[in-house]
Amino acid sequence: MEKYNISLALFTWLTQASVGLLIMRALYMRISPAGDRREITGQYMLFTSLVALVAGLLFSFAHLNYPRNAYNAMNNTGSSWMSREILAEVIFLTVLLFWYIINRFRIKKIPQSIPEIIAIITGLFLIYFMIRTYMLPVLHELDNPSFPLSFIITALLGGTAAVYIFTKKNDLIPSVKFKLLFTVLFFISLANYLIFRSFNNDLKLFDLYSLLYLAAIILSIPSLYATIKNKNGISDVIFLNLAIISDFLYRVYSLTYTNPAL
Amino acid sequence: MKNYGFYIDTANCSGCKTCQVACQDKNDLEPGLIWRKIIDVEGGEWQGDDGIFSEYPFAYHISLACNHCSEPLCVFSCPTQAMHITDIGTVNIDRDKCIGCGYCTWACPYDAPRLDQKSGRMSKCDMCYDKIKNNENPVCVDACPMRALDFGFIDELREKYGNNRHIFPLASPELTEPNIVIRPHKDSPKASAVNSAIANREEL
Repeated sequence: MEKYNISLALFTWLTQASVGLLIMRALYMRISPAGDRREITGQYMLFTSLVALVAGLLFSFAHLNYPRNAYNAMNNTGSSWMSREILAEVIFLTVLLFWYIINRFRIKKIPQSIPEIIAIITGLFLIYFMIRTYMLPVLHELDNPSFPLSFIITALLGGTAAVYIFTKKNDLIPSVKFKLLFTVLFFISLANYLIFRSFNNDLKLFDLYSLLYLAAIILSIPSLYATIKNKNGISDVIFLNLAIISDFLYRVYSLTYTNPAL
Repeated sequence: MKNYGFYIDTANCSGCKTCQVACQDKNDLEPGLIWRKIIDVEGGEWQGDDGIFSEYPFAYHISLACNHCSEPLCVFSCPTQAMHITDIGTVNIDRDKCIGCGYCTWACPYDAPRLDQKSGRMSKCDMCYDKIKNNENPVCVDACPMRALDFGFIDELREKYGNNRHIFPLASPELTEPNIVIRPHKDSPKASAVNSAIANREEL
């Protein structure tokens, strides 16, 4: 799996973050006071989700050695989880595009909540199919509860980070709430990473992955303090980036660590 | 449909790789691309008796290609249906559909499907489909100087050689129901119990 891990890690991470952003956006739209600012921020979030999904899709092509035949990839939805994953990806992209168009051009005939619900449900199915794709009985390293949990955590972590970035300048109250949620999710991601490595008897405290996580933990406290005090501390930017990079590298590690059966 | 299968005699195999070379030659495979591989298993232990320690090393070889399983996970997993079961029950790849994603390799417990770097598509042992159609043996079987390989209908092979389908370090046969019969090397039961490993992993 070595050769493909970066493009696969980027594909899975971005797609999950795209789904997570929609979930967190739904939360933001319900806790934030109504107004033009909320609508515009919601539109930016929708656009970002779409961009992340398309970028992920493009990265997914990078792991194909013969992309010219890619139109065949949905031939086997009857038994192949990968085929189902691709089908769900296409449906999710279509719904998201449709939603973005009616949101961007303010088409009032269709209530926003309809594409919103359909997109979130399709996105959740997509993450489920992704989990099943990688949990093959032969890949022992991934056949434990920690690996599928990492897909769900990535979705929520990526989505929360994006909502926080969009709201931190103008919407202080939701911004603090999302930052708190992000910090909690990051600690869950760290715990899950340690569990994954202990499942595979490969727990080392001083390697690149662990050190990045450690640095992010140290920075999480001043970063949270800066957010609560409404200050633009450098620790905030570094913490956010380190936390995201750590979670992404965990994905790279888990896909690299997995070897063919022989 | 009666399935074809291979008989692999690990007690007789000398690991000479003639089967591997015959396969590469017949299928005109690029250097580095192998459809039939030889797994070298090596291990051993020290046994102490009254202060005197003796070494008990062992080694054996497994000639392994695609096992054309009855429950092929590669066929079930392939998103394009390029991996399919042929009219004679063997598992083969339709190159016109393959996208080279490598998912069949992840799914296969025997690591049989291989990427053909030149074409960008997956490739693997087709059990010499053309030769079977002409009532001939696959080339690997005929090339073996030790007569460690045999070929035929799997029911007949099982009648002739027994029903064993497993040897260390292969995966459990219950995963895919491989159409193989293995005569285990005498030291193979020890291999899973003592220090032993695949010695030529980089060749595989």
